[in-house]
Amino acid sequence: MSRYFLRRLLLVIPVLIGVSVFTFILFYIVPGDPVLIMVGERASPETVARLRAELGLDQPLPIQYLNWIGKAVRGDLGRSFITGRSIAESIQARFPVTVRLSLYSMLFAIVLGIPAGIWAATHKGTWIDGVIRNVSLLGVCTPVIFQGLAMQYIFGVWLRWLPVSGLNDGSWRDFLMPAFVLGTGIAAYQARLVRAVMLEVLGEDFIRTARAKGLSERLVVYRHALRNALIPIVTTLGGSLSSLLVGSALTETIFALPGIGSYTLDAVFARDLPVIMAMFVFQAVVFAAANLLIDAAYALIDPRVRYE
Amino acid sequence: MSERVFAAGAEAVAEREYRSQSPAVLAWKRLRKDRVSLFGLGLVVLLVLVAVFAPWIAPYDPINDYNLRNRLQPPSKDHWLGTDSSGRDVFSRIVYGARLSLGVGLTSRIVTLILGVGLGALAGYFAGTWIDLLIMRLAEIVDALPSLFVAIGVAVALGPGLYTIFIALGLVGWADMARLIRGQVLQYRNQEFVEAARAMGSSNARILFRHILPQVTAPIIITLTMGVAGAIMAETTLSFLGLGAQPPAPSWGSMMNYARAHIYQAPHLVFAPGLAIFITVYAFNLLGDGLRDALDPKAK
Amino acid sequence: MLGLTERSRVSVRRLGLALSLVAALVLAAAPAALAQTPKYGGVWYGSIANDPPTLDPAYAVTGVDGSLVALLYDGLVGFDTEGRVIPNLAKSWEISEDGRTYTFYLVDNAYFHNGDHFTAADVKYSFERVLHPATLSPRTWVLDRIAGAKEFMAGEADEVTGIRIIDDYTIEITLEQPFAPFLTMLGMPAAHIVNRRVIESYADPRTEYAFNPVGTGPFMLARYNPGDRIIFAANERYHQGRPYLDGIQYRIINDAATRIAEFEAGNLHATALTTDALIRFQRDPRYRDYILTTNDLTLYFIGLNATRPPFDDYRVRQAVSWAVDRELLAETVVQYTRIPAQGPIPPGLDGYRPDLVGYGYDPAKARQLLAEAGYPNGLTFEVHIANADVNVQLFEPIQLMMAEAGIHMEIVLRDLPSILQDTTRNALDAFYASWLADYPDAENFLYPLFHSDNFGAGGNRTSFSHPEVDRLIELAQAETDRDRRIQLYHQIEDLILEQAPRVFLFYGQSWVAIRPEVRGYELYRIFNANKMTKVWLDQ
Repeated sequence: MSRYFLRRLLLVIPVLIGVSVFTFILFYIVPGDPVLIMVGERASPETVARLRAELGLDQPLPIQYLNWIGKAVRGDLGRSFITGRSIAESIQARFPVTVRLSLYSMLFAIVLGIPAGIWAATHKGTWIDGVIRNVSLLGVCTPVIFQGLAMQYIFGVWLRWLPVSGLNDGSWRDFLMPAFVLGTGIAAYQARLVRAVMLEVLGEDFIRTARAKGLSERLVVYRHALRNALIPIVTTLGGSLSSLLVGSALTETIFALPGIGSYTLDAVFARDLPVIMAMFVFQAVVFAAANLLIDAAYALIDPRVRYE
Repeated sequence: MSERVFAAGAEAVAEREYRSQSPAVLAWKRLRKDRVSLFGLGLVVLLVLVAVFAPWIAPYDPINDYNLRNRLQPPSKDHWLGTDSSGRDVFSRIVYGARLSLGVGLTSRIVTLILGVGLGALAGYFAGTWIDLLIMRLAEIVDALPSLFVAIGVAVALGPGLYTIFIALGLVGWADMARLIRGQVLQYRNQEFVEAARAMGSSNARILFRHILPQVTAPIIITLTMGVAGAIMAETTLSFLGLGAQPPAPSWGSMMNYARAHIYQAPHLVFAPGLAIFITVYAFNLLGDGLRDALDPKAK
Repeated sequence: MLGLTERSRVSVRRLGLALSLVAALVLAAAPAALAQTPKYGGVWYGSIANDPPTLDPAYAVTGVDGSLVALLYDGLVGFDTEGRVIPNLAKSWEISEDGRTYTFYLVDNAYFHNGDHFTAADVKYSFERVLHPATLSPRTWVLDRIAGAKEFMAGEADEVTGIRIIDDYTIEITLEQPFAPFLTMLGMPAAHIVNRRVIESYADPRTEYAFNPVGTGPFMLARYNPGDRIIFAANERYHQGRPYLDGIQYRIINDAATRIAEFEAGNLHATALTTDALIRFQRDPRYRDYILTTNDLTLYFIGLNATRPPFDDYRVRQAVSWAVDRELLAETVVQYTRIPAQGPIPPGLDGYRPDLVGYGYDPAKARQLLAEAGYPNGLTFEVHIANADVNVQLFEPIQLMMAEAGIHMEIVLRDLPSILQDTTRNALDAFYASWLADYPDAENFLYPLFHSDNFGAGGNRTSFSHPEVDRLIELAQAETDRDRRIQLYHQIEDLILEQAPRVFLFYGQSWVAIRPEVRGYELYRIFNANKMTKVWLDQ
């Protein structure tokens, strides 16, 4: 089993290389010179040329890429072109914010989405099922920008219960609204999925057997059916967690949270190439780590799962 | 006793009838019985009709009929959904917007399908060779890249515009489809009917298309319908970043986005496209759910 | 007080009554008057839209950096709300007859945040640092007119001979040639004074000093959390007197809607207003008495690429200039926040003419001009604009207005870096952008934008070239007599209007809402003029 995981770990490396190459090429062919942005108007051509040389941007592309890789494998992610700050430091400061936001969002997603899905499945065809299906659709359809704005005004401005934005005292209060906004989107999606999977499992023969044996409905649903439904549910939850961890750039922007999503978005728009490279590769690493965790979770949930 | 024999006989007949019908016909029969899904199908058809017949339905020109002195007006007799920031009729823009949004939704899904099915089938058919390895690694790389940023990157590289959106959105999710198709192809390619077909002289391509692909229509159809919702929502996000449909094109996503600046003066500008998006997503989801139930061989 | 100018036979008793009435009135008014005495204390909560790329004056190029540099550092001069030059580290100055030599008499009570005493040597060091080739400052143009600067920048001299220290508090700066805007340029961030000891203590100042500022300014940097907030504390020893505020906290809030929500929640003391928010606030009794406004020395224009067809022909450029109804747009889409522009010089600067008549909306004339220029069937071109709500909502009607003149203008949404790079290569037909004043002189709207020395990143992104315009601009730069210079500005403006290198659309008008307890807060026309020293909180 551990050999499997080791192999998985090794397989991640070509993916990371692929990600870095792809990102590098994409942003180098894209118009937008970071040096021109940094120097603003009326800078002398000599200054521009020398700055470009100092940042290593006058080298041929493959050399630039190799320089970057050489430093990256040693843990030196470089410095931002624009601010000169160490990227590794910025990640250290900002990633925890994103992690907290992700975890709180997952909490909402799980607490709201899974029971709703189970309920809908067990009450299939009734009004409960109908309400859950429709409300969850609403959750999928509402763009973050409006949900966020509405909540900011209701809870931040009028009721003054929560801060409108920003990392203030660092408590859960700062994360409540953005986590709710993100979490409900995922919950909506989860509810539909859980419903579908539960329905499928509940139709299986072994469930009929369990019922025939006289087991209580609760036991049937929660012990037997849910257990079997867990694998696909955990897969999608894991997928949601991965995408949350790479940072919900829009939510972070609207709620002014200094996480890695807004960091990356700002870098893309400023053409801050070292930050873009570092962040894309970092996100690939996080994604791979999350996937590995999910696979490990499978092994825990389902003893039948065996990896070679 | 005779009743039982009769019943058994009838069942046997039904059984044979069941087996002899193609999956498509069976699916349609099941779908017909599910009222909710039929409603979804009806809505989708209605939306498509609205999109197709937009010029006849819309009372005003969505782009050229403007009047700056009549901007941000609430719904009225003349303008059923009010007017926007340039004084254009919102209802007309929503109607034409159906073309854009449905177009984006469907086309991007088709791009995903082409990439996913094409590459997945190739990978499955040549499983174990370098083709398979390359395609699967490519899928992992694209998966690992954050989709929003890939879309931004593609849009910035290709220049903004509708075609860019199709490609950028289409790139999201092809990996899953490819893996699925590959799995199906692997499963079936060694089956007897394939060998029989090959014995009869069918080429590889023919085998692929005629025998294997029909087995995978279910997930394909599901992707098409369910993914449309996601694509339409993604277009809204891209509009926020200026990468959606270019002005003055009336896509619902960009309409919602630009309505944000006037949310106090003219809230109807937010609700109109929001409602349109909701109805569309709703319709496609109902249809998708129904299709999935109908196409599921285990359902009764 | 009563004025007794006439001799009147008023009885003593009446006088007594009158006097007590006056006394009563004065006493009643006293609390109100007392309340206007500034109070010390309190922290100002504001916001900025992005992280500052740097806090080092030698590298500060954006509006955000500039406004923060103004808090941390001082220049020889500053600006008042109108944009007129006022003394700061230089308490007075003399300019020689020929306009080439400036003698500054410096204050003797200024100290850096680390305790070092400010002297003339600091001025020489700071200016030479900006000009030094190893510094790689993009703002050498602020100081490169000083005699000896060019040699120093080329590495041929080890000092700038035009900067002469007379004594600890007197410094003399001589220019290569007379250059009228020089004094105003000394108020720019690049000319703010830094401390040699501190900077030289870093191995790589460009990256290490960037966020460890030490200046003489009214505030010091207390803490900076990137992406979150930046916090300043008052400089107790500020040479113009300690600011009333104890400190300033700027939250970094990118999204305008969020910022306005924060203001409404009571978490910010001031916020810039969008048109929509302005209209809403003006109707709201809680806010409508607390809205400030000023013209903000911004010019909004469509740049037309003069290097290739169709815009290499000035008649086509004129035609496009006739195809936009600026008045209507300013009354509707950008109500209040934009004023129709006639020419390139915005209101608030010497040289601005309120009665100047530029282009209006005349589609027929546009068609005629196009026909003359060889486009009888109309014109097609692309305009690239930066993605923003306001820009799109402005250009959709502009597109339709142009259509009436037979002009088919396509809108392409880009982001700023792409547009910047493309204009440097002259790759675009047309682009929409704005130009914000760096320093309060009309020359800043003429030389960088229209002189042929400044193609591309120099500011003249349309590569417009006209020998007479060049000549007049150079004359104006050297002209020390104010009235004659203004006349030259007018001549240049007229010529530019005729040549129509850009379609001048609007001037900017800023609106800011403040909380009721805010006092002494004024809007400054120049982006980096506000040192927050006059602001106090009545709480």
